[in-house]
Amino acid sequence: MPLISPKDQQTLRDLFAKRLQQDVTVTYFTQHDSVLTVPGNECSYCRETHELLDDLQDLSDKLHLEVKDFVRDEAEAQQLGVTRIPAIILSGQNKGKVRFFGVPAGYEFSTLVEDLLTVSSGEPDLRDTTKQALEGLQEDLHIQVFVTPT
Amino acid sequence: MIEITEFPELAQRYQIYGVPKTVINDKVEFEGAIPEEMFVQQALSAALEED
Repeated sequence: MPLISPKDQQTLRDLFAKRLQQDVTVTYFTQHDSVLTVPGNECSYCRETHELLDDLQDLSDKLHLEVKDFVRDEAEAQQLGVTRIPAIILSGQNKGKVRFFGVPAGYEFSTLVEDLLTVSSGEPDLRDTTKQALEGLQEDLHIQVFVTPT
Repeated sequence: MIEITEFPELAQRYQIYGVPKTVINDKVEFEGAIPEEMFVQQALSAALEED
């Protein structure tokens, strides 16, 4: 059973057709499905996150899913600042890194969809005064937003 | 974005009792949604603290 209902799929397909401007690569770090798991190291929502991203990718030609293994692709994980899984990285026209840790369910699913649109255009929906204020910034900012899935 | 129920060690490290909670450069933190101008002020103050 798909995680996104047929009705929502159609809504998203229309939204992506209208508002996704350039291609977006969705890099997903997960772990191999295995019969053996190390206690304390299980990835509770890796499977669901993978399914969700698979479904999402099918809704637009502009979305490209790349699946990486957290252990095997360690160097790449390190380079992208991936310290835990499931991790999703959005790359398109954005200058900074956009990362999701944990399953993007509930309200956070809309956050993911909004971020896909923003990354596809590289034009954040911010006021001019905000852009001006941030223009002079010399150093990188690491912004973490902690949420729950409700 | 970090889904905190999956990573309880982070909830402990950043002392998260309510969401959303935002942490900038591990220095500045605030809870809840705040107006855009205030967010910018917090971000700039985090950048200044770096120096």
